[in-house]
Amino acid sequence: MKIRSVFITVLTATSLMVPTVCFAANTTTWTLMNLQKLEGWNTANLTSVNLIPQGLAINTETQGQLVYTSDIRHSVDRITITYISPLGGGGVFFWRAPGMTESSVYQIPITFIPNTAQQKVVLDMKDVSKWDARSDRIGFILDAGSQLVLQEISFTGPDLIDKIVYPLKTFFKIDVTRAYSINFFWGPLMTFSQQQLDSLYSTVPPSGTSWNKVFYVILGLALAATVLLKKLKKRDLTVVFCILFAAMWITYDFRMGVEFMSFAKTDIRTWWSKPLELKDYRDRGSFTAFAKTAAVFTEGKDQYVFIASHGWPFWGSMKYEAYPALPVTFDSDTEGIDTWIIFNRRDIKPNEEGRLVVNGEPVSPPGNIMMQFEPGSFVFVTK
Amino acid sequence: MSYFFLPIGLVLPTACGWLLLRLVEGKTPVLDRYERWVAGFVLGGILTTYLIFLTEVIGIGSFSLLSMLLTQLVLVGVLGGLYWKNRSTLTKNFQLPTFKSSPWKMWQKVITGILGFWVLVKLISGFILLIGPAYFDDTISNWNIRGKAFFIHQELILELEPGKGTGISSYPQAISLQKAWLAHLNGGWHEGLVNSMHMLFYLAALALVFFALRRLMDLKWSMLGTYLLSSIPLYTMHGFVAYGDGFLSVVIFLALSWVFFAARSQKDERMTLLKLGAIAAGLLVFTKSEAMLLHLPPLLILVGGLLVLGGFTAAQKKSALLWYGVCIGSVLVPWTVFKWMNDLAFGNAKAVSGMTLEWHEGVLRAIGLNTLLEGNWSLLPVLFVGLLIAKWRTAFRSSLVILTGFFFAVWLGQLPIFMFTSLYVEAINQTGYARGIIHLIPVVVVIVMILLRETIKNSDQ
Repeated sequence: MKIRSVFITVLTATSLMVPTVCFAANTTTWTLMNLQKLEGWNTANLTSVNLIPQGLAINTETQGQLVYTSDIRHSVDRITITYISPLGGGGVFFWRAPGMTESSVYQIPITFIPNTAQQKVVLDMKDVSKWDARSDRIGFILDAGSQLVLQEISFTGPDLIDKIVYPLKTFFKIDVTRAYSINFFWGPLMTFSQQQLDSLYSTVPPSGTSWNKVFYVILGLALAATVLLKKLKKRDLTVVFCILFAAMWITYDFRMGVEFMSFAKTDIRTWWSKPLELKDYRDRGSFTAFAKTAAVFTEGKDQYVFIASHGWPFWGSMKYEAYPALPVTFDSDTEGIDTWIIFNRRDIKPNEEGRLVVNGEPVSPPGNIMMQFEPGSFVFVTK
Repeated sequence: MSYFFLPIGLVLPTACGWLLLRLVEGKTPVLDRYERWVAGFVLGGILTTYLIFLTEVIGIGSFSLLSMLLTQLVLVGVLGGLYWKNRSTLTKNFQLPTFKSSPWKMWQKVITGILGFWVLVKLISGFILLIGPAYFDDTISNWNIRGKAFFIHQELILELEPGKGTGISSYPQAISLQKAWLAHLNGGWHEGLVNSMHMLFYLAALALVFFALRRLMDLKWSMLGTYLLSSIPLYTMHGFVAYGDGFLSVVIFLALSWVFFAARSQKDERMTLLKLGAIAAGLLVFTKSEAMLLHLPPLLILVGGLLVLGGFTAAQKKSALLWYGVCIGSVLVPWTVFKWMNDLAFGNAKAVSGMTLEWHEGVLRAIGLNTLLEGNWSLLPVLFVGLLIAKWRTAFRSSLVILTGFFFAVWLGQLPIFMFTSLYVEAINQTGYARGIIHLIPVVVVIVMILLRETIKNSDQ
């Protein structure tokens, strides 16, 4: 009886979620034809902008801007721009993605082919990695001399199946261990297309929506139903609600536990199971293995010179591995220091005199490479 | 092979902690025998490292193997001697209360087995993460490098790099000295060995939450609460990395839960629990810098409130105040004087003095994201808030207010720090806010379990 009740509750809660999934439009259209008033659009530096029955007639002798305050609520992988342009024109299509500053935008070039008949330009955004449908400003910068009647812009997202399949697929898409993993986990995320799924963790923050929202909606609806039925004295579903909550909790625990297992599996695969020269450690690549190998050359020494492609995290890690020997920069006082540790700097090599050269300048006394770990990463000891 | 030194290294600190707790309990034991070992491990580690620190500072000891060993042996000798002297009065055992409970059903056994196995799998994964090369920033720049410095130099080093300041040396040395002790026993710095104690702190948190719940509910509910704690993702992560926040959370939990149980107890038991709470509060000072500024003040206010409103006699109040005064003072005064003399910062590795106050936009949004839309806390925030609303009387008008009051005092106390000071960066970059929550998670889980059980119990009736 109880299991049946749980099933009914879950089904009810899920079915209430369904409209947002099934019937939400996956195309948003901004039409400019037959408008009485231009709302949501802003223009700057365009010579003439007029609303006519066929659309928005633009004629500009200077480079100018046309921008719309966007609020698209679905993912978009194709943008279709409908226009008429007897003389043609061009410029860029731009958007301001979430998190960007007021003055920054991403852009791609666009060309309006001259033709007296209605034309369409289709922008395939699948492979545009920076594209984000959640952008709050979308528009054009038109080149001087452009002339067109802009009729319609439509934003088309993935189909219905994708909208169901990809969020589920993404639930188990796992991040890798990163420096931020000690402070937060992104947790289960939702995406709506293969492109979003593939590039999910390639940006910070990732381009996905939190699954937590779905959990909260289901729990909120289930709680409302429980309270309502109890008030109406029809049924007490408190236990059923608790079981639903427990099921979600365990699902969440399973998801995050898989993340820990994935971290451990990666460590085993790339670090524990490899010989030192082939070891990679998390997102630091070969650095950790290099640092451990190079640290041996600092034993019994007070200081060494350390040069790497980046300061963080290499400086602190090298200092830790080689402690009590301490790193110094090459442009500080290196008198009396005979060990130079270079990581991931292919531009640094000994010259004919045997001195290390940085930015064209010899910076060390003559010496020899005592340990070549990989190209650009070596230990150099002066004579 | 190096890992054999972990249990060996824990013997003396744990014995010290156990003896101290048992002696304080005296004729009125209030801890389960296993619980005492776990609490002894946690508090003993702080006590011994604190004394090792003191011997070094006053010049009668060092951080060498021999000196660390001798200090611990002397302490064990003193405490053991006292135990031996009073052994005739220390024979009573504490029994956890029994609750009317239905027999285990098959589905309960199956789910318990599956979840137990799942927790074990996570622990194994975590151990693999923990014993790898140093990776996270504070491991490299604070906890481990200071341990390495103490181990190598065998003395207190405040400037790891001469002329580059004492920043992280403002932190107490407890964790780093425990690492140095293990490295001495091993005869060399071994990353896996010195880090493995962090998983023990995590396991101690699970065990202590279990025992705390067992005083209030039956085995099944207590196990459920323990599972709940084990499934908080970011808290679990802190069991798998060499940071001090999980460790601090355990000591906070001890200091606070013993006050909470004192509020629910009577007569001698109540006083014993307060004495234990005083010891944990004193040792709390030597865990992490923020303990002194953020956790100790609300804890003391709650203890004060309990003494005023709890129906204590004048003699009991005097005794409790004396215990808290002596325990806290004996750590706080030397530690503060030491920091002051060495010009070390009073703050979370950043000086609190000289900070300007101004509103920082984006902090509340970052906190909201971290709390509700990331994977850090599973569904705990909504469960916690939901239960607080549903059972607000129990939450705020019973002895549970000691736990809820502490949580809100610390949490609300942190918010202005992030919103108005230069530490706002820690919230916006999500590098500081969640750590503050980590400290409170065992407390939150116990609150949740008490309220959840009451909700379900009422529903069953």
